[in-house]
Amino acid sequence: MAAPTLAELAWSQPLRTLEAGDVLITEGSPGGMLYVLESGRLVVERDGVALATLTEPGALIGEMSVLLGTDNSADVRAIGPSKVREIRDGMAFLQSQPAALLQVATGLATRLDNTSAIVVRLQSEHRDRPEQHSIFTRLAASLLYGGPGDPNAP
Amino acid sequence: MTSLVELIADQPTRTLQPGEVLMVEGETGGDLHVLLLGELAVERGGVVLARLDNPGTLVGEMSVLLGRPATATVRAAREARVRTLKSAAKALEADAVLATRVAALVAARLDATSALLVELSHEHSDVPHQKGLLARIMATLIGAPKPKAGETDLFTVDPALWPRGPM
Repeated sequence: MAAPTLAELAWSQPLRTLEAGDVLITEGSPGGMLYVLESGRLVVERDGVALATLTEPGALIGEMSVLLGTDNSADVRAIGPSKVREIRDGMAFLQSQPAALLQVATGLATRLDNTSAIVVRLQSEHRDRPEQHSIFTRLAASLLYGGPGDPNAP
Repeated sequence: MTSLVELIADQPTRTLQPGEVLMVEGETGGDLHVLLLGELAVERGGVVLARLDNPGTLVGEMSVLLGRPATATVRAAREARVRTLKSAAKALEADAVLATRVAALVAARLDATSALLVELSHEHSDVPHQKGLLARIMATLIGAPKPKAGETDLFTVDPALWPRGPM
């Protein structure tokens, strides 16, 4: 049997309906809540810069603040009619749902891995351009090993 | 919050001599290691990518979480001591607190990289090509799907939304 999806695990949580322009999360507000996108289109912004749009049903929002115990680091708002499941105590939900927790961890690792793949490719493509190359080297070190890395790395 | 090292305090430790291999690129070990002291070198294709010397550094978590072989070889750069959790995937399924700590460490790396990307995108706001690449990296980091092989249009960020605000 396939493991239940996050959307399935969150189905009994309260449903929140958003119209285009409605704000779900404000940058700097206290974290701790989790949201699972059921349908619609959300945009993530940080420092006033749009970072990504989320459209995939089951997409998780707020997990970084839950895991890191930090304030929300981005604004999230609807750019079309959207529905999300709202989990008020994200940490309690994850700790009581090992399947959800592992999916979150695997999802984070996948994001890290996809990002690393792009950064490593760009790093290699910009081998002959020292300024760009050093930017991608810094990013690669941060992604792969969480640190500044070896200054003599290729 | 209890540290990972404390959470797996009952697991065995191992001392590695300089040059001794902990993990081999391409092999599926399934173990999670935490560095206790000393220094490890991360190598890919025989080239050293990074040296790890922070106690508490996690090694092997990507392979465990993604269920795939190691993408790098890790060996002791000088004498090093690690604590090892065997068959880590099973242990994580059974222990929500442990799984939370591992997830938090991965989240911390994403968060640090995200902050670095925002900083870089401000520094390079006058170089459109550079900024575009950084935007693409950020979208992937936030969770936009991986571009398909051969896909040239990398931008999933709505161009109308980037850039916005004070740059």
